[in-house]
Amino acid sequence: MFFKRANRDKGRDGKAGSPVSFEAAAPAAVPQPTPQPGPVSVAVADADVAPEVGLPEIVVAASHPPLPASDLRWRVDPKSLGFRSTAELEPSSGLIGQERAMKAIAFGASVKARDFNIFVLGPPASGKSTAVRAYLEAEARGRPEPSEWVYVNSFKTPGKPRALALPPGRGVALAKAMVGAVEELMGSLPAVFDSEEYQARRRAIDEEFRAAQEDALDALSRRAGDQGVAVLRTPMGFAMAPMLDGKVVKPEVFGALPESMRRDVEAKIEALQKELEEVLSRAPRLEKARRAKVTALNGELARRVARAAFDDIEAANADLPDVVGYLAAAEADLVAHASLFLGEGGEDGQPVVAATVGAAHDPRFRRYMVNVMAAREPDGDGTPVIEEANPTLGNLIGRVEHIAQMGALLTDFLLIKPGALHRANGGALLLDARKLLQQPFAWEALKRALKAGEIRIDSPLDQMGLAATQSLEPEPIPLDVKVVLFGDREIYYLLAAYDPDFRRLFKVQADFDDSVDRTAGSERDYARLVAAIVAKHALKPVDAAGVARLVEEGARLAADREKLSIEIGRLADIVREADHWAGVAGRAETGAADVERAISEHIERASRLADRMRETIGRGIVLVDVEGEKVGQINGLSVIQLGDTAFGRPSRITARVRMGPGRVTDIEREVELGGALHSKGVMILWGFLAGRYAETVPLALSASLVFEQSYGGVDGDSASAAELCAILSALADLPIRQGLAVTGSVNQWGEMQAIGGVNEKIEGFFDVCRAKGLTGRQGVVIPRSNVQHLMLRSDVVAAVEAGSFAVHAVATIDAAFEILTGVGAGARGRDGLFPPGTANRRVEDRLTLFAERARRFAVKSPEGADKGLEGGVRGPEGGDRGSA
Amino acid sequence: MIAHVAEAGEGRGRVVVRLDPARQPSRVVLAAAVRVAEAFQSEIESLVVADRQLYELAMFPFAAQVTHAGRVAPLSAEKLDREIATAASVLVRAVREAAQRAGVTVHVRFMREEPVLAVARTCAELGPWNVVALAEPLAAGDAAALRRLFVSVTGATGVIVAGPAARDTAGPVIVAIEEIDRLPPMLRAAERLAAAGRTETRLLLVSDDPPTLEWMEDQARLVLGDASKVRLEPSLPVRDAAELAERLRRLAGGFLIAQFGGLVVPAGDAARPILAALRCPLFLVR
Repeated sequence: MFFKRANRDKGRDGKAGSPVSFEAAAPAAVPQPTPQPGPVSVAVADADVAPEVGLPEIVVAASHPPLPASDLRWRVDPKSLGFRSTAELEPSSGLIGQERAMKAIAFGASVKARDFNIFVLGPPASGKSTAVRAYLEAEARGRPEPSEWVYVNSFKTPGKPRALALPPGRGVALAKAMVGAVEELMGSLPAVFDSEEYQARRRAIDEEFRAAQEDALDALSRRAGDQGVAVLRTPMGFAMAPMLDGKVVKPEVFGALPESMRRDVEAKIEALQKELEEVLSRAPRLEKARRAKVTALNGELARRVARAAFDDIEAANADLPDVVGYLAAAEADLVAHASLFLGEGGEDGQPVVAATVGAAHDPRFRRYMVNVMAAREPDGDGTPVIEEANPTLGNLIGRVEHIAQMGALLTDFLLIKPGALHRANGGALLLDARKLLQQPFAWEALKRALKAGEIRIDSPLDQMGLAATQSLEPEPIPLDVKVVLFGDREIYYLLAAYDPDFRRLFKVQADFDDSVDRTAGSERDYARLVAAIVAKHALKPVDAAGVARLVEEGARLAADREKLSIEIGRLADIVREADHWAGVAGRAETGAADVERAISEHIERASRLADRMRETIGRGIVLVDVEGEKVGQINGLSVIQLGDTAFGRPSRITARVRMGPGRVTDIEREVELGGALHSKGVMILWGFLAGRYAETVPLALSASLVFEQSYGGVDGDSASAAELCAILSALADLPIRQGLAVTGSVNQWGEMQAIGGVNEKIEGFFDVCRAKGLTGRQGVVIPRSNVQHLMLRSDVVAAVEAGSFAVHAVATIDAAFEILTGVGAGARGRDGLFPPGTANRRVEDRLTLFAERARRFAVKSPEGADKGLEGGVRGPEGGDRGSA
Repeated sequence: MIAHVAEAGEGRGRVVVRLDPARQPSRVVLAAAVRVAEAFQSEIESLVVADRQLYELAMFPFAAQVTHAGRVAPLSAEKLDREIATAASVLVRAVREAAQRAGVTVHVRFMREEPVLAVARTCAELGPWNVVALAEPLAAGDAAALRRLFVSVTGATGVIVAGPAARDTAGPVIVAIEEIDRLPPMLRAAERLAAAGRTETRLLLVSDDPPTLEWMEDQARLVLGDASKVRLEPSLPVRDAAELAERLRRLAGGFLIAQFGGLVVPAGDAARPILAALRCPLFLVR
C-alpha cells in the first residue's frame, strides 16, 4: 500500500492542514486509489531558509504494512499433540531440555575434589532442585556408604569430646552396646557389691576402722571409769567429770573432798583429756584410710565385672584401634567410679536417681554413652543426599545444646547435635543459596568447613567472647561432602564478584535455562510435564486442548514464541487452578476453557493497579491521546512489573527543539528519575542525529525530552525509538498520529532493536484504546525483531482480525517515522541530499537553519556566538527564540 | 502393744522419739517412727533429753570439753545451754519435717534428766502403750543401754532402732518370729506397717532347732491360712548370729520386727552383727 502526501498548498480536495490519515495504513490488500491529501505543516518561518517551492507529491512506499493476525500469536493445534488427554501420557520424571546444566551436575558430582562444589543457577520454581536431587540420588545408589561418626566422652579432658569413625551401622551398635553394658553393670555391680563376699570384706573394713575409733573411745571410757572419771557426750564433743558409782559427782560433794584428792582427780582428767584429744584427732586420718581401702575393694570387684561387660564390645570392635582405646579408657573410668552404680552418694545413702530410670537417661551414666552424629544403615546402599531447608548455623554445622540446672547452663558431649554437614558427610548436601546467605554466620561457617575439610562446631557467642556458660570443644570431624547450592543468577554473579572464596569453592556452574526451544519434541515433553503435575497433585486429566493452551501459555511466559518457559511452579499453579475451575464447572477433565479461565482469573486478581491506571487515562487525569496528530508528541510504552504479573502502560513523551550548543536535555535524567539505560538510549539517539544530519554543518541543536506525568523512575532504552521520533517530529514539524504508540530501542544507525515485554506493552495500549473506543486507526509500532516474541491475548488478536487495531513491525526508525507521520523518510540522492519534501530533508533543513543562525550569531557577537555554539544557549527560552 | 490397743479401742499411746542433742539423728529412724505413728493413727512425742549430768559437770571449775576435732575448750552451763538449744531445734525440725509429709501430729517436750529416766517418765505419763524410737543410730556399745531401756521403761511396748548401716525404709516388712505364740500380734503389727508403707509382709521363722522350726512352720501355716497374702520365707535353722544377720540383710526388708533378747537381737554385745548388717530399721518388741 502507499501513503500519498499532497503538497500542502495543493491538496486535491483543496483542504489544507489535514495530514495523511491513518486509514491509509489500514490493512487493505491493495493500494489505496484515493490519496489522502493534506499539507504537512512545516513550521519554517525563517525567510533565510529556502522555501519549499514546488514540492513534488511524494509517494511513500508502504513496505511496512500491519502484521496479519496470524503473526500475533502462535497457536498449538491440539490434534498435533497426538493424544486425547494427559491420562494417556507417561508423566515426565525430570527436566526438559537442560542437557548442559545436567552435564555440569554430572561432572561436579563425579569430580573427587573438595573445591569442585556446584552452584545451580536458574529461575525459581523451575524444578531444578527436584531434578538435581533425583540425579544425585540415582548416582549415590550403589556407592559404598560412608563412615558413621560418633562423639564419646574424653575421660581425660571432658570438655573436649572425642570423635570416632566407625563403619556404617557400627556406631549405632556401639551406642546400644554401651547402654547394654551399663545396664548390665547396673544390675551386676550392685549384685556383686551386695554379695556375701563383698559385704563381709566391706564390713571388715568398716568395722576395722569404726572399731578402731569406737574401741579407742570405749577403752578410754573404761580407763576413765576405772580412775573414777565419767566421759559424757556433749553437742560439740566429749566432757569428763569425776564419777562415783557410775554417776557424776555433784560439785558440792567434790568440793568437800581434800584438796590433794581433788588435785589428783583434776590431774587424771587432764591426762585423760589429752588422750581423748589424741583419739579424736586420729579420726580424719582413719576415715581417709578407710575410704582408700573401700575404694580399692570396690575397684577390685568392679574391674572383674566391668571386664566381663566390655569383653564382647571390645571383641566386636577389635579392628578399630580408636574404639578399643576408648573402651579401655571407659572401663578404667568405670572402675574408678564404681560407686556410681551403687546408688550411694545421696543423703543417707538414697540413690541420686530413682532406679526406674534406664541407663541411657540416668545422669550418672551419661559419661559412658555414645552420641551418634549420623546413623547409617549397616546394609544401606549408597551415599547420603541431604537437603537442608533451614540452613541456620546450628542446622548446618551442628550445635552444642545446654540444659539449665540450678540456674546454670550445663552441657556435655551428649548434647552435641548434628548438623546437615554431619548427615551429608560422604555424600551431597543441597542448600538454597538465598536462605543460606540470610542466616547469620552460616555462609562463613560453610566455607570454613569446606576449606578446612572438617566439621568444627563453633558457637558464634564463644567466638565473640559473649558466652558465659560451660561449653565444649568437640574434636573436628573430617568432612567429605559435595555441596550443591541453588540460587538465581543474581546471587551467583554477586557472590562471584564480591566473595573470592566462592569461586574457589564452587567451581562447577550448572546453569539451568529459563526456557527451552519449542519443538515438536519439547511440546510433547511439556505435555508429559503437565501429566506429572496432574499425577503429583492428584488432579483431573487435562485434555489435548487444555494442554495446547498450556503450551501456548508456556510460550507467553517465556516471552518468546520459539521458546517454552520451564517455570514449573507457575505452570503447576495454572494447572491446579484450572483443575479447580473444571471442578466448579462439573467437568471430569480440565479443558482449554478452564486453563483460559485460570489465566484470566490470575490476571484479574492482580489487575487493580492496571485498572486504576486505565481509569486515570480515561478520565483525562493522565494525558494520553489516542486520536489526532501532534508535533513533538508521541505515545511511548512501558511495562510495570508487580509481583508475578506485569502490565503495559502508555506514556506521553514530548520533545521540543531549538538552536543550541548541541545537546539533548533528558529531563528524566536531570531530575534523577532516569536510569542509566534510559540515558544511554538518549545518547544513542543523539548520536544518530549527529551522524545522519550533521555531516557538513555543526549540530546547533538543543532538544528537551520528557515522559509527561511520570513521577517515578524511568529506565530501559525501549523508549529511545519513540523519543527519537518525537525529536524528528519536532525538527521536521511533522505531526505524529496519536493513535499509535511506539516501543523499541534504536541504535546509532537508526535500526530498531528488540525490547522486552512487547506483549504486555501492546496489550496495555490496546486496553487504553479500547477503553476510549477503538477507531480502527490505532495500533502499536514495534521492532521487527520482536515479532518472534508476540504471544498476544486473544482479544487483541481478534481486534486486529477485525481491523480495529494494528501492530506494525519495522526495522528502521525511518519506517517507524513514515508510519507515524505518513510522510516518506527519503534517502540521500547522488547530490548527497535528501529529496525535497521528505521527512529527512525537513529535518536536515531545520538543522541547517539552526547552524546558519548560530554562525551568524557568532559573527555579530563572537563571544556570544562561541557561547551559543558551545553551550551559551541553555535555557528553553533561548532555543525557542532561535526556532521561532 | 499399740496394735492391740488400736484394735481394742483403748486409749492409745504415742511414738516417743528420744532425741539426744549430743548425737545426730538417723533419718531412717525418724521415717520409721513416722511410719509406725501413721500405721497406728498415733502421734509423735519428740523428747529432747539434755543429760542432767552434763550440767553438773559444767559446774566444776575445771570443766572442759574435747571437741570432735580434737580441741579442748572450756565448758560452762550457759554454753551448754546454748549448744543444747541449738541442737534441739535442729532435731525437732527434722522430726517435724518427717512427720509433716505423712500428716502425723508432733508434740515436743524438753527434759533435763538422765536419758533412760526421761524416757521412762514420759512413757509413764503418756500411758502404757507407747513405742519408743531412739533417734540416733545405735552403735555396738549401745546394746547395754538398750537393755536398760527395756528394763526401765515399762510404759513402752517396743523400741525402734537402726544400726549404722541403715539406709532405707523401702521394701517389705519382715517379721521374725521366734515364739509362735507371738505370731498373731506381731503379724498384725507387721501388716499394718506394710499397709502404711504400701508394701508386703514376709514372715521368717527363727529357731536353732530344726524340729522346732518345722513345728513352727506348720503352726504358722495354720495361722496364715490359704488366703493370706503374707509370704512365708524358707525356714533354716540358725547356726550363728552373723549368718542370721546376713540372711536378714539379703531379704532387703524395709522394716524388721523382732523380739528383743532372742536369737535375732540378743540382749548384749551379741546384737552387734545384726545392728552392723541391717540396712533397715528394727522394731524391737518385748
